[in-house]
Amino acid sequence: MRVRLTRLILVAGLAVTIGACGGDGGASREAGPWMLEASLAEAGAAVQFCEEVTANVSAYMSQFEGQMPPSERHGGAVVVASIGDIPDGMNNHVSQDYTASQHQSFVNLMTLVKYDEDQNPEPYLAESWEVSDDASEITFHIRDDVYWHDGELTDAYDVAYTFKRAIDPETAFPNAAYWTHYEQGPDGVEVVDSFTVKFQMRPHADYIDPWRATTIMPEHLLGDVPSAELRQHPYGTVCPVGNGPFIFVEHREAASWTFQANPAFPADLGGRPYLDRYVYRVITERTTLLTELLTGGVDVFIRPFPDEVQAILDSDVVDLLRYPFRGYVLVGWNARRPQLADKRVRQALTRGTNRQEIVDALLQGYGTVANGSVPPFHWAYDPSIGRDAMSYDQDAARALLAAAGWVDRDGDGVRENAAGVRLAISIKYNHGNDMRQDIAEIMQAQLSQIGVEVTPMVVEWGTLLDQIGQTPRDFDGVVMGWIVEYKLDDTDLFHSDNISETYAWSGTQRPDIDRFLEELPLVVDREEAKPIWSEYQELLVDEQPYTFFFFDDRLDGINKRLRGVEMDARGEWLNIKDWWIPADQR
Amino acid sequence: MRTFIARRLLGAIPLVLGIATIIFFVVNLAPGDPADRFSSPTMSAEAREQVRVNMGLDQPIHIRYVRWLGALAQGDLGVSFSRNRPVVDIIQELLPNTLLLSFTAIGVAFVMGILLGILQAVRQYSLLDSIASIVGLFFYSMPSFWLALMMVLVFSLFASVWGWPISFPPSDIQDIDYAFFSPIEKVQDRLMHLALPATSLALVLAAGIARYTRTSMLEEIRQDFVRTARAKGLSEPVVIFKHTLRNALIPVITLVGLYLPFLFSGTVFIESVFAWPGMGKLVVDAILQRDYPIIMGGSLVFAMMVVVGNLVADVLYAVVDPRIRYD
Amino acid sequence: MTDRLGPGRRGLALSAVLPGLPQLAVGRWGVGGLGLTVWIAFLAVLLTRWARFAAAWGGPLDHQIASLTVVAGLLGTWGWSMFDVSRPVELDRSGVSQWRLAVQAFKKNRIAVIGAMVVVWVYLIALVTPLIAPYDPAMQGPLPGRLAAPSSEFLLGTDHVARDVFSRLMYGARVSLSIGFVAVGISVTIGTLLGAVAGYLGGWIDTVVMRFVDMVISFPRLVLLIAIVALFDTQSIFLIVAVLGFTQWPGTARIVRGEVLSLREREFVEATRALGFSRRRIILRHVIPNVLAPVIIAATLGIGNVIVLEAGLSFLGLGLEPPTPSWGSMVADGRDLLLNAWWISTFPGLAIVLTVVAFNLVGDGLRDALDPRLRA
Repeated sequence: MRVRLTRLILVAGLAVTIGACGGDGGASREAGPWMLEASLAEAGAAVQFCEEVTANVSAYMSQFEGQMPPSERHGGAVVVASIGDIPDGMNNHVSQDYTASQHQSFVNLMTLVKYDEDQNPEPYLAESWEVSDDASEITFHIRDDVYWHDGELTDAYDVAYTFKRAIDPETAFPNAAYWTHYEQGPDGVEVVDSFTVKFQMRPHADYIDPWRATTIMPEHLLGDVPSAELRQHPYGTVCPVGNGPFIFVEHREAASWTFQANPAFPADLGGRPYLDRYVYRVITERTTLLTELLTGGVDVFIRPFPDEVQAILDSDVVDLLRYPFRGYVLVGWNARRPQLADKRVRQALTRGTNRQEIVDALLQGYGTVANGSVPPFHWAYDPSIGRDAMSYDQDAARALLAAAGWVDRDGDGVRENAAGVRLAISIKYNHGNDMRQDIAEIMQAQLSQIGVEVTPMVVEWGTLLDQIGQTPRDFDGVVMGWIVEYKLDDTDLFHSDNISETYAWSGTQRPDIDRFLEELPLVVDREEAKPIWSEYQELLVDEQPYTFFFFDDRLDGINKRLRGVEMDARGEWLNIKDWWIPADQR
Repeated sequence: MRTFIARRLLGAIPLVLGIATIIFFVVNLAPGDPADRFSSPTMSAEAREQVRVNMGLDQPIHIRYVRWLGALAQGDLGVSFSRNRPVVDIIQELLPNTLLLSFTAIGVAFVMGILLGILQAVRQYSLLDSIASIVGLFFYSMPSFWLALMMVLVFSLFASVWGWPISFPPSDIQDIDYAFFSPIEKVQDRLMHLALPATSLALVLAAGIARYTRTSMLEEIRQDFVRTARAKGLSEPVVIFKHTLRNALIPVITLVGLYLPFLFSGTVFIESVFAWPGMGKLVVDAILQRDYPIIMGGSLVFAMMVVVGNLVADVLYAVVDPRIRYD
Repeated sequence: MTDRLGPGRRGLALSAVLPGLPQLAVGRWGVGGLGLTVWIAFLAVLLTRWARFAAAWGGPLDHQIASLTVVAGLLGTWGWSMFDVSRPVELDRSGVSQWRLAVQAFKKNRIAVIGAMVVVWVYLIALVTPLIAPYDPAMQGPLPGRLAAPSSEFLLGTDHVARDVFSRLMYGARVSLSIGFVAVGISVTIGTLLGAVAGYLGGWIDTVVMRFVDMVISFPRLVLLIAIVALFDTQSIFLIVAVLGFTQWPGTARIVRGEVLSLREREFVEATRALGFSRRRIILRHVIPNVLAPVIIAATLGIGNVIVLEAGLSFLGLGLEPPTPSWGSMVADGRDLLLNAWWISTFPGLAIVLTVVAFNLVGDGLRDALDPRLRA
């Protein structure tokens, strides 16, 4: 197979832009028609697929040639960079990477609904929806003016297709758990007409959430692809076709992804994005990435570390954006181990660690101490939970250990129980993650003061997942992180039914916690649910399957020339179609 | 000579095959399941098993080996786990970048190194010799990624922030507007992007080459034939370049063969720091991600290039030194 | 002009109090400087760290070695200086051996001597570290003190978990130096033997050995290294040293073989053959000593190379396990903090450069001194 360059000619309809007309002859990239190239593979069905697709996109888009841009804000190219690539590209059926889902949801494709700041759903691809009174049926009405970038209309068949793929076990859809309370049998989804689709479900809370997270995929392009071939289909990484605000143009392996504004994007939803072009670059060396940001080569640096932020704060060229997020860091305890079986020991380990100091030092204050799995901005959050019960108090920790029978009997500084077992545990973490390494080492230092011997151990990622996820669960403590979905659900982690499943690291077996985990998803009303969530959280504090560490704030470095950027827990690319650059700074 | 080359090429086939087998087993016998990286915490056990099936990991190892060899014979290196594209396509896209970087660096390094080495030999023990030795050693002794980081900071960040006349782009092979450039601008852009990475690589090599050339020249310069040449009244440059250099270059040429594998794997660090999309970084990232097809495919390609490179070095060696017999 | 002070009460008295000074006084700054500085420094260590020194004898092995080094250093310097001062002045320089000439040529090479001094000093510091390191390299300070700039309290600053960089630098020296030394020892031994045998004997032996060399060289070394670290799932120092050593010898083998190939055709080798020496004798006693020069270069370059490679492994996240300090892992740890805590990476980086430069200067000097063809 040989790689061949094929020209994809797109005319962005910017024949003349006020004030930016090119005196520089041939290279006027902010005005006039311009050409982009996409690289494709040759020979074979995959190539044929991409060639056809590209030809169609090209043909469709050429009709927008010569259109005047609506306002002065239109124009320019923005570069966003981070250390991670988009491994599965735009293929929502198989991707589970955060950056991928952001690009799918906000850049190239569309979801049925979006969330506003309060996590309430608002229309996007779906114009409206109705839920039956008993919450067993939901009907979506799709917009009729959204076109795939190759000219096909997006319709209800695409939605039905996406759903069927997601629940098909052979697809191995990463978030199949979204649909547990949806009816998955043959009658589960019904296409009423071209723009109306109906789903059957069992009443449960947050039934809209899966449609916020899943982008609708093109049935006319992927409908016939066998499930096993989906993952490696060139659609994802070589020639994605979306229906969102930006059209895919080029993917340079391990280097960059380029997108271009979609002139056909519905005016109701904002119309054509202001930006002409959006480029996502992958730079794995953090110092180089920071340099690119500070010298203007890159406009947005996704997630600098707290320690790197000083240079951004000092710079005249860049601003720091900070907002709370839904990821938390924890140390998971294997309660199957004799040293960790007693919950008082686990509580003592938490109380013996100065988590606030860690937040202040390691995160430079950009974070909040966590005592449960609910993020601080979430509607179910209750700040009083665990605040006093789990506050940093080494005396209290020592008392707990003593009460649990752990006393230093031989004077070596480490406690033993009556049977002579030493309170010596290892805390594992994956290498490549400085933060987790630091936490393990800090715990080692701090817990030695209450008579616990901690040994930090670095383990390769895949091996670590095996060790904590498969019997015989070879670990004592593990530093890990979770990104929680808006639809909070800890069933996989703490329900005793799942005790031999992958994510039951702690081996929690408590009927009272089980009851809450079963009941919570069924309570539809948020006001009703909130106190129940609080009770559940109190139980977690008591049980301490994890030492919850902190919810770290998200940080982003943004070039000052970029306007209109809004980022919050919904994601960094949230409103990329509304970003704009003043004409004199393009 | 021709039979020699033919025999070496023929001998290279089992060599490459042997390397391929070793790579396959080392990689596939490593603990840990690559599918883990591509499954999400919220997936059920069945779904994760399905991922493994889709990746072809459910078969026992000897079957996978045979399949892999068969595919290899047809020029198919499999499909990457992490990038979900055929490995051949990925390599085809990235290999030219690495070659560009490596060969530029070699070229610059050899020219710089040889010239410096000659200069040092001719002026042995002078101040120039001492300074050149120390400066060269300084660069040679630096971890290449450290040098690379310093270059990014100095010639890219500080140069830009402090307003120096020229500052270099610290990453990637081209500007985002590359597609719009005229041919001349394109060449310029490439050179600008090549500057820092190639220099970092070249500096480390050049120092070593200079030392070697110096030693070698010193040996030759003391030979009788050199004295004769001078006695004959030949000018010094002729003596040096026409007579001494050829002999002196012999061991230096072995350096080409010696440095080749280093060059390809040495680009790993440079490519990482400068976000240069190339083979070195590809393979190392693949190892850390357990992307077996890329590890195997990439290592194989490296190995083949090194084998060819060594062959070329040996041929050069024989061409330059008539005393060498390959019979 | 004599080159030593000569036996006399003045010389002896001076030497008894400040060994090395008499030698310095007559311009032998290399040995003199080394002796004097070692004497003064070790004396200072003994006096300021008496408590630790005394406690060391009952302590762990490396503490004992450290104290032993101090004692040996003091006695050795004193003893050598006294001996040296009391020897009769040399009258005649005729009939001096090859090695003597080499040593004298080496001593004339200033930067080589400096390099040698640095090497000796680095090793001495490494040995004596347990006595002089101000802090425990693994001990974390209070968190607010992390990323502190160099100060009087922390000479080279603190790292991201508030550990003292200076102490870690010294302990890191031990690790990095050991790795370099052992790995190169392995590789040079194997490489020289195999290269000489292959080059001299030629024929099928040559072919087999060189095929083997080709295979090991062609093998992407980094891949092997990383794969093995992953396979054994440990980052043990022994493993890393072993793999480094066993993948480095082909370079030496090739060089040696190349030299031997040229050498084989030279007259003196033909002469030994004509004299009927056994092949083993020819190889061991005539061929190898004459290829020692490139081997020495290879060895000194090699030590530096290994230290740098270990840094590279740490860069990829495969260095030694924390909190074990090695220069390489310290550089790697600090690389994301170059803009706001440059001291974490920079000092170990400088240490690497300095040490490797010193090794190479020594190698160059030795080579210049040993090769009669190169002496002016």
